[in-house]
Amino acid sequence: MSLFSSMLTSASGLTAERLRLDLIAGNIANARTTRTAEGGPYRRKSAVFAEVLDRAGRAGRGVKVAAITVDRTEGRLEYDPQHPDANEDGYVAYPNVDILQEMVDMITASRSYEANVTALNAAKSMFLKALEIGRR
Amino acid sequence: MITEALNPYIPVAWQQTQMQEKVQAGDGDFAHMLKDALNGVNKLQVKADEAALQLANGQAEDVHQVMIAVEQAMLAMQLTVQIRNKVIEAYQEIARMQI
Repeated sequence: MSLFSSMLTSASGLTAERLRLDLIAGNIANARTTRTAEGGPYRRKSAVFAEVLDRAGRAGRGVKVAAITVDRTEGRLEYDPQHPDANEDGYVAYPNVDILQEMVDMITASRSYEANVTALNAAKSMFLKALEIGRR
Repeated sequence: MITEALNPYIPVAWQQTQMQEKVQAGDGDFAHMLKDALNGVNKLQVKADEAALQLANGQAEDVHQVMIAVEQAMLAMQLTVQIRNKVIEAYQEIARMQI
């Protein structure tokens, strides 16, 4: 239904920002995780967004998550010989999660979510205004 | 003048509806069209109901999808009511006609 296409576009934006917030929450929760299924410390995850076009390839139909990438940069090393995951020199490899950066990303994610809600409400009020055409 | 290529000064969605109308023109009368439209509105209502039920069951993944489904159902319903008002108005106008 093309009647609600702008609402569906905003909905895709909301879903994408929700996923971004999920990933940020995961990064913060695992900020000191030293064990993962693939071995080694947790690595920061982030989402890559891609534009969605309609079938004709002209107008935008919203956004989709193209991939969830894993940040492969090395995390910090802390000296803690008592830690069970310490290496032979006594250093523990911690995740490459920077809490400050995650907080800033969280602010942009929640603000983007709000912006999408505002766009959706604007589309709704335009629709309602259109219904007033010709009303006596 | 609207050519087959997209005109940048006219919204794209509108031009696409124009193209769709060209294809659909000719099949079905007014009653058929009205029935289709009502079916579409009903589908949106059913979808909103299902979404609300899923939210109540705790199966819904996103709250906003539920809210958008409910909003769409509400807007479609209001559009239907407005169309109905117009149709009734036209009927009454004709019924009042002096013979």
